[in-house]
Amino acid sequence: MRILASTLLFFLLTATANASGTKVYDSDIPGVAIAGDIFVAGAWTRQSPPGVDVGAAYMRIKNNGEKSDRLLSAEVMYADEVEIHMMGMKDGVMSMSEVEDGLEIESGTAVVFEPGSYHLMVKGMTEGPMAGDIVTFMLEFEKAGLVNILMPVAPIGAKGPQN
Amino acid sequence: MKSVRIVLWALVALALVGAGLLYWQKNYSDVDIGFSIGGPFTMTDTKGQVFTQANLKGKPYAMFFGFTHCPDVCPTTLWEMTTYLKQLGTDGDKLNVVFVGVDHERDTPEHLATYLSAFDDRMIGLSGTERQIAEMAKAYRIYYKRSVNDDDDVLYDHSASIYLFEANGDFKSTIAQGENPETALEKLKLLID
Repeated sequence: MRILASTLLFFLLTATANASGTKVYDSDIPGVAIAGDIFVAGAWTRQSPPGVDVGAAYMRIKNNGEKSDRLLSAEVMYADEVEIHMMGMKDGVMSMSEVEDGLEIESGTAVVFEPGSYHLMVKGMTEGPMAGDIVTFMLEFEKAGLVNILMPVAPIGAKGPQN
Repeated sequence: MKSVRIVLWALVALALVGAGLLYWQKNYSDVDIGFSIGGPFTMTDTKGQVFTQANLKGKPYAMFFGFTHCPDVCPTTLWEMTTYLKQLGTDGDKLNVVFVGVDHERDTPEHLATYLSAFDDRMIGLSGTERQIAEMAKAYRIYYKRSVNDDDDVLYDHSASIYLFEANGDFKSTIAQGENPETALEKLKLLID
């Protein structure tokens, strides 16, 4: 099963080069992408309520390499800006702050972006995606480079990609 | 050496007296030590009408605070409330569900009306001036704090629990962030009964 999955990934995840010659990893599988030692899985975003130009996106990032890497930035076509945010609950109070200078993903560890924790904060959306859409985020890693990841769009207020 | 021991025992005695006083105050004193939550407020509903605590009388209510430009906690909480109301069916009509926008600049009645149109239409959205929100937050013991980041984005830290009140306005309990949905639904059913 694992071999089959790996083979499938080998064929579906390809690296292409963009105009400037930088390697960009691509994936045809929604929610999953591989960029060198970086493995991204379970990526999703959600439709925002009407009248709101902000949103959030989530995923798990695993660093299979022997060296630490760093998620530097992210972008998506329909928004002015995407930021890496940490959200925390302390004594019932929600607070949110931008992670400056990228987010470190240590060798052999995974960082989980999920509701109530890390998220990609999508700002200045012109026309936000609708539930059922699949959108492409581009992630930039310090070592692994650029990777395009397809994210399914969950309904408004969903806590996961499936509901 | 002996004097050190005396001082230490004196401190122990003092600590015991202090603990005793706290225990007495918590259990027997009439003095309010911070568990009074709720009270009068004056806000504006999504139709632009003045909305006060009197508008909530006669039904128990669930109330929570947030802001519409909140990407994560607010839409998920609103969606959870929408789900609970759906599960309660017509019993949900016996409950007032109130969302209070703490962002006096952007959470206007018109904006809240648009925003809430994605959720259960029984929900009441309240807007206020900076001062009205501050007064209400104080009465409901809600923490919120406006901050502006380097990009001039206005963000709010805020209490994220859902507060549950009896029909007479007495505070009953809360539904915390991440609480088991079945427990949360049970709490709402208990509140309605």
